[in-house]
Amino acid sequence: MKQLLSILFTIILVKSSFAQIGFYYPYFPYDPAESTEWKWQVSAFANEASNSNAFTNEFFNTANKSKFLDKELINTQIENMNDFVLAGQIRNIGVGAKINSKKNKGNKYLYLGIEHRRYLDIYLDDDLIKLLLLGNKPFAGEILKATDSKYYSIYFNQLKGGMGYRFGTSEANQHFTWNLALNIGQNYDYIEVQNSTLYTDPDGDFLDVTALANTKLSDTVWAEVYQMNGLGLSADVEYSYTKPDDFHFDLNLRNLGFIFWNGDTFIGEIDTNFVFDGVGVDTTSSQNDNLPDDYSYKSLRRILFKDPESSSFTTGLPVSLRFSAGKYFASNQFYAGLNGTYYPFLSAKFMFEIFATWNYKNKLYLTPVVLYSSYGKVNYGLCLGVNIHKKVSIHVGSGYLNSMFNKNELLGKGGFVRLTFIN
Amino acid sequence: MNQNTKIVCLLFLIIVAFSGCQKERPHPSWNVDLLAPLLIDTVKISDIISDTLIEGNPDNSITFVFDKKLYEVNVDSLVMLPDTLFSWSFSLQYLPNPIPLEPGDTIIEEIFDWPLDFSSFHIEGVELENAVIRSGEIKFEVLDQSEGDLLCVFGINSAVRNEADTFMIAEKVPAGQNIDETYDFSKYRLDLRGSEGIEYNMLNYYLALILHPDEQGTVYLNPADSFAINIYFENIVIDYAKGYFGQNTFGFGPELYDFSLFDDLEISGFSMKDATIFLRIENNYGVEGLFKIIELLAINSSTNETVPLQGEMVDSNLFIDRAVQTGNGLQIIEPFIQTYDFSNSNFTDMIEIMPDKFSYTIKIQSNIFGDSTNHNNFFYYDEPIRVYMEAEVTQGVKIEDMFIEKRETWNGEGVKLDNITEGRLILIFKNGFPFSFDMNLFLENETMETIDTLLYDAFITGAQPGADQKVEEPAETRISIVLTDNLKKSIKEAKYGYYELLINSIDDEHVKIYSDYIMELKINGDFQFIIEQ
Repeated sequence: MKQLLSILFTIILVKSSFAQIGFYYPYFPYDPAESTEWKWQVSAFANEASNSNAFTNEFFNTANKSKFLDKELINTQIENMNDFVLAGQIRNIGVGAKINSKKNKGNKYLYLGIEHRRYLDIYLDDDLIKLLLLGNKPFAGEILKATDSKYYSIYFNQLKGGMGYRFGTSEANQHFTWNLALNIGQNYDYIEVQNSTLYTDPDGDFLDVTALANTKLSDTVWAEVYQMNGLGLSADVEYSYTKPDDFHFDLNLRNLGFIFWNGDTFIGEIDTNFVFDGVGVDTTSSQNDNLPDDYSYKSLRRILFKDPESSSFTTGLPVSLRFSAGKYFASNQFYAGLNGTYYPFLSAKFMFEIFATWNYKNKLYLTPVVLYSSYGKVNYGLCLGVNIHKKVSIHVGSGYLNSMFNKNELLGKGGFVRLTFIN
Repeated sequence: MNQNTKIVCLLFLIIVAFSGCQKERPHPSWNVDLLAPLLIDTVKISDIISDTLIEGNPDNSITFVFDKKLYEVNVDSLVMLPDTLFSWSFSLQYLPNPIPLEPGDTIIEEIFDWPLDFSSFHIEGVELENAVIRSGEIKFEVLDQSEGDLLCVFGINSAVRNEADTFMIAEKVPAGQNIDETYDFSKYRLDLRGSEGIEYNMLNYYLALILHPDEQGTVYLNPADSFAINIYFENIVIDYAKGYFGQNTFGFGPELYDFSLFDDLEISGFSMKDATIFLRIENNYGVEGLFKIIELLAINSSTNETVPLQGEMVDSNLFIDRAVQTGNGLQIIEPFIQTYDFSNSNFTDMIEIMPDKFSYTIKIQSNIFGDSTNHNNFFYYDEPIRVYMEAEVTQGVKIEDMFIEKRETWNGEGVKLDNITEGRLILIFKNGFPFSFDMNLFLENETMETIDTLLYDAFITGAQPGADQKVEEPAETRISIVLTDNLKKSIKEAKYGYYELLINSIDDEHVKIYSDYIMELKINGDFQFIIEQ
């Protein structure tokens, strides 16, 4: 029962293998609204995927639930690490509506939607992780290196509007849709560390630091979802080709755009090599004048990055290119195919999955999936689609059933849920 | 599914979906082991020993320079004014008949010169031209042996204050009585050259006896009547004098003079090696002379130790030339300064007992060349003859239990120690001084009461000098302080840091000091720190 509740909870809390899914079901792209006789469709969806090539589920869960990471957990985590640590999270939540054209029913429609997106993409040298998790003392007398590490986090809302077109015949039809989005940025954090080293004297008498890093941060470290720290525009385009009872092909490009971040931004660089042997004490004044009185993230970044700028800047969005292709078998009783997504600007650049769907009378779809991604591991799961009287469709699933409930497995959890009403 | 049900379902779905928007950043926490330097400070020789006592040399070695006044010669003994100005009496015994006088009639009125009598206190040959009175009074006694009240008017025409205020007094003397009055005489400038301006030691006076204007009717002077007037100086201190002070021999002492060689230090023992000792005499008087030290005795009142000065300079005549007055009546003096090498004396032995007093007995012969200045001897009260000791210690000093204490303001409120779960502070002393230190270090509250002890009787090893007497490698002492909850609390609450140092030369030897000697004090942190995102 507990396990079942966990599954439901996890699904409802929007874990998904997909960055984005349209109104059709990618594991069986049969459109129950293929009929032109519909007025509108409303769909609410949520999906999330969290992955890592090094962090375990237990470590991730403990951190994500703001709990204390004990030594045993950290040591286990350290033992699991490779030369670099890749971790990320993609989350999409939204509602959208298609409104059918009155004159050209089924072949032209208007799309309106609101979506929330979050991308977290971390690529860290294992020495940096060790330093962060264990401190410098265990490595006194050694040189810790962080040759190429990045932390990238962005979340924003999108107000979308666009058009969809369907053309072709009953033998083969094509869809083309485009959306324009007004992006309302909440938060952007980017820190890149290159060729940096730390040497701690065995007695702690000095620290030899080489630091080469840059950062761009938006106004608020962790803005609320309703806050606005930047504005931008972006576009989505999608094209699909379907030959009923035979095959389907789909290609889409999302988030081609930007956000202009303004307000109290923070842009800093550090390129330095110094030996720190303590804060100098001026005996004529208070001895703590040189010490920071605040060790918050905000204060520390001010110490690290001298003379930061606070000017507006523009960043591109994490563009994704996704394709999906599959073939129908046995009079549409089965559909098998593959989905792939490419993120050119993220460290975790791709996700790829193969699947096979059993269709029961166009009312129930059951799909086992096997997933492989930049995180270098194979995950598998199960997805379910239900059509109720061609008026309601429910899609749920997860590609991480093999790892999600095993605390010792590498982080791999996620799922999706979508509910669509058709009128 | 009816319309209402659809709307409810849709709303539910939207709420569920957006509940997944994470509302706050995860705040995991964990412990890390940190080992890092926190604070660093350096202590220079001038932080330990007042820089007024040390002087740097080109080779970075330090010369201890002691330049202390041993004593001053009291000017009062050199030139003093006689106590009695004059005594004057007037008898009418030879008067053939009574003389009638009306109120306001003058009995006698005189303007006259009268010399000061220096011979009264055995100062020979003094010929003063000018003098300024620093402080003192004039005492005025009048006896009236007549039947009428008198008005006695007395003035010193050659005593002027504030350029125009001539000394002049008038007192009523009742018939058959005497009066005794005292008047302030400070700040008067005396012209002692007489009415003609060619005399010495001569003051010009005014004296008048008048039948008091308030008398009622005629008063007769009878042969039995008499008057007496006595004028005295009392407690006169001369601020300035000019003239010829005569050839005299003055003896001073034995007198005690407080002595504080180490103004800024509390020290139990100090000795010098191969010190160069000079006695510097600074003569601000316009009088040359011979200066002879009869006896100079260093006294430590605490231990009752005394060491007399011994050496060839003792009981020898030291010639000191006169100062030159460069301003016209202004106090601008170029003193005569002469140093005398006392290196062969036992002066270092005198210093080693840490004297707090000197007893001196000296003799001065003035104007050994006679009136070579043509009556231009002078002195100012504020600029006497001063005797200094100059000691330069270049080879080494031995310090025993030199005590230093210092209190610094402490601002620990901003120090974030709450995140330290356990650990220690490591105090590292890299001592480049050839001194060892015993250290106490306390934290105090706003009323300077000790609230915690960081160090007590902590011994900091001194560095060992090499063959060339110079320290090459500092001595390192590490002291670990466990960071308890109480100590963390104290560090935050403390308002002052107070330390005491007891300093001793290493191996109880004389050690040479260099200006580049430093002690590096570093505080390292070795603790478990809880990271809270």
